[in-house]
Amino acid sequence: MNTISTINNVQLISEVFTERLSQLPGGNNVQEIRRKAIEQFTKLGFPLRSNEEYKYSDTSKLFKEGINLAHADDDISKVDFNKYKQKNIDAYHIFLANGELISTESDKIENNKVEVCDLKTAAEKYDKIFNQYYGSSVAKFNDAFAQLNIALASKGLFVYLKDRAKLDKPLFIHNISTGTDNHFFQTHHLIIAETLCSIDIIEDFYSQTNSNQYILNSLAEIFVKEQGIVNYYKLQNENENAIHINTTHAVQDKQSLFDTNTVSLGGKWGRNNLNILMNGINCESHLNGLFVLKGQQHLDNHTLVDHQNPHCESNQLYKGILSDKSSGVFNGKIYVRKDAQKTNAYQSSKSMLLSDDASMNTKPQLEIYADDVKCSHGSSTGQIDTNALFYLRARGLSEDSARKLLMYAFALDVINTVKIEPYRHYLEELIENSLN
Amino acid sequence: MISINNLKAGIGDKEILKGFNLNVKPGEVHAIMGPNGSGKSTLANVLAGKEDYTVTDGSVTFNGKDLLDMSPEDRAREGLFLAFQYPVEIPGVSNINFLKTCLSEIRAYKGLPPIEAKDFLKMVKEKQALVELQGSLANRSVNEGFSGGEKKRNEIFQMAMLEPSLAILDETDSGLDIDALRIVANGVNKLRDKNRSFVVITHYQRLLDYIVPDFVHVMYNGQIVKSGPKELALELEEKGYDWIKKEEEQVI
Ligand SMILES: Nc1ncnc2c1ncn2[C@@H]1O[C@H](COP(=O)(O)OP(=O)(O)OP(=O)(O)O)[C@@H](O)[C@H]1O
Ligand SMILES: [Mg+2]
Repeated sequence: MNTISTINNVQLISEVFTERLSQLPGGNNVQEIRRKAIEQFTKLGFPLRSNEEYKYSDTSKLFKEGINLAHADDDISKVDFNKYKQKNIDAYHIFLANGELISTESDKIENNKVEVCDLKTAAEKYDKIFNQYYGSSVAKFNDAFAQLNIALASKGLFVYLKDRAKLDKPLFIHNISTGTDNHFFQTHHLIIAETLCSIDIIEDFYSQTNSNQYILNSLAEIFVKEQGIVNYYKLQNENENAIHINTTHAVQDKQSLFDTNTVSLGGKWGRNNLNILMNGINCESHLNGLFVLKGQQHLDNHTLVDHQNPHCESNQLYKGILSDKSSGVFNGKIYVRKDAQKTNAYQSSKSMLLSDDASMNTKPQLEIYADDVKCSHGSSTGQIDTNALFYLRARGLSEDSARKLLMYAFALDVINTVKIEPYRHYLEELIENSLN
Repeated sequence: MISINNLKAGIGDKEILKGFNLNVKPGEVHAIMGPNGSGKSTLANVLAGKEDYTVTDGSVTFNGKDLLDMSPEDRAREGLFLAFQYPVEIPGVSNINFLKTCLSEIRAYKGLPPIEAKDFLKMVKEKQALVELQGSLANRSVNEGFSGGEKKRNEIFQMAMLEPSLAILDETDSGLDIDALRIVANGVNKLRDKNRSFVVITHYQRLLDYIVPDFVHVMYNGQIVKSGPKELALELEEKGYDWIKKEEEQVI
């Protein structure tokens, strides 16, 4: 068992890496990628406030007591998986506990064009594809957590669609974390939709109890090939001690569609990196996000859309409701490269602050090198509209219900982007409860 | 029904209502007229409980209870309704869902069970017909993108749904075309009964042709300066307010 007692000592992590490397899934090519990643991580270290990308999300406090890299699989047996299955959502339910695929609890997909398995299996059964794709999308993403994940991740899901497969039901990935005492673990999903394939993916994150304390560093690489369609919905609803770090990196080939919806409700500290690379012409992507924060919660949403090719469109809408002493960040980067003429790129970030102690930092960054483009960004931070509040109360609604109704109305346009109806209803319920 | 005694209220240091008195009995319709800025909307808002205004003196008894002591929602639950001069647009809040929540909260307050979905829908249909409000409007977000006239009609629709014992209509007629005016007035008239009272704030006699008041009051400078039968409205229409202002200034 390795317990790393200080964050400054990235050296210790790299020793763990050397120890484990030979057992990590992937061939020589992947090992090389992992090696480069650990080097990169060692150089970067855990990000501090001085890092512009982590200006409002200093991580030094998070790792004060050190991180625990031990495997904590033994307590998986205690998990009641049924509890996490949203039974009225017709989907292929897949369970991961601390990143480990629990086959006995997961639905089987009877479709020979669709493979869903764990990374280890994929590295053997689909070695060519695995070696070709693993880490390839994020290798150049200069983020310590992403690099650490590429280097050390051994668990996670491999989803592969070929021969124009269209999955008939959503793939619902349930991530349950059992860790305690700074247990640090990583999951790495590799999702590949070949030409003309389409899939809806829902991924939710829960903690096993309402207090177990751990650090999850998850990463999803998503490849949407020509004319592919991937809708990716993420729900983070962990307990108030959980630290959640996620990088989702999508690479779109021409005429593909990638929509995301990121809902964050739980956790103590969260960071979402959402990167989209438009690697072909005529791509389209919608990035929607909603977060409801209270207490001392902190959440940092970073998005990056890289328009490298002409005739692509991206559209971002992020909304946050913050109360108590919570704090939020939205940082949205849009690159429009020289060749990306006829780009449409829009971004909007709105937040509602319900207390004087809550705070929101918003930073749009548009870098445009093409001349024939339509780009816009807007952000606003406001309070509850007191005139609307009075109007509702004057009709007999209690102040509480009126507030709730207005907050819910504020969030509605993001919720409405969820096209899977039963999942939307599930979200509506969760959001309503979290507004109490 | 309601008895307002020597009500003084304002915003900050500015006193707007300067000793306002009015008594409304069950079943009566009172019209309040008066020049711009005389305090009519302020009166309506203070009665509905808007917190921007501070009451500095006076009392209001509503159905035997101290109105000024209640939260805005309790005033509504006790049967007070204000049709706003400027109804607020509330994107994302559906008219119907909102009314349903209102009704169930009002009923809970009165110790009644929630209304059955079936009965609620029946009621919506009925009341919509009453003010000839298109079904599509009732299903949209509260007042969002409604025309001026549609907003006013929606206010009367809400009033019909909530069945208040006292309704204050603040310039519900302004912005209405002749047909809409007739429809709104008809809606109000159908709701008139011996237990329900109305305070109708208006600038125009034409509304009072349809909703015939029992009393007409002229408000000026935060007070009622003249009261009379419905014919007073005609006189005002003819002569304007100047003669009243002059009378008032002479008294001072
Ligand atoms: N929220 C406010 N802040 C500042 N002043 C206000 C406010 N509300 C009302 N007033 C002032 O109080 C006075 C009375 O306004 P009020 O709206 O009650 O008049 P009104 O009789 O309804 O006029 P109108 O016929 O134009 O509707 C005006 O001078 C107005 O500017
Ligand atoms: Mg007015």
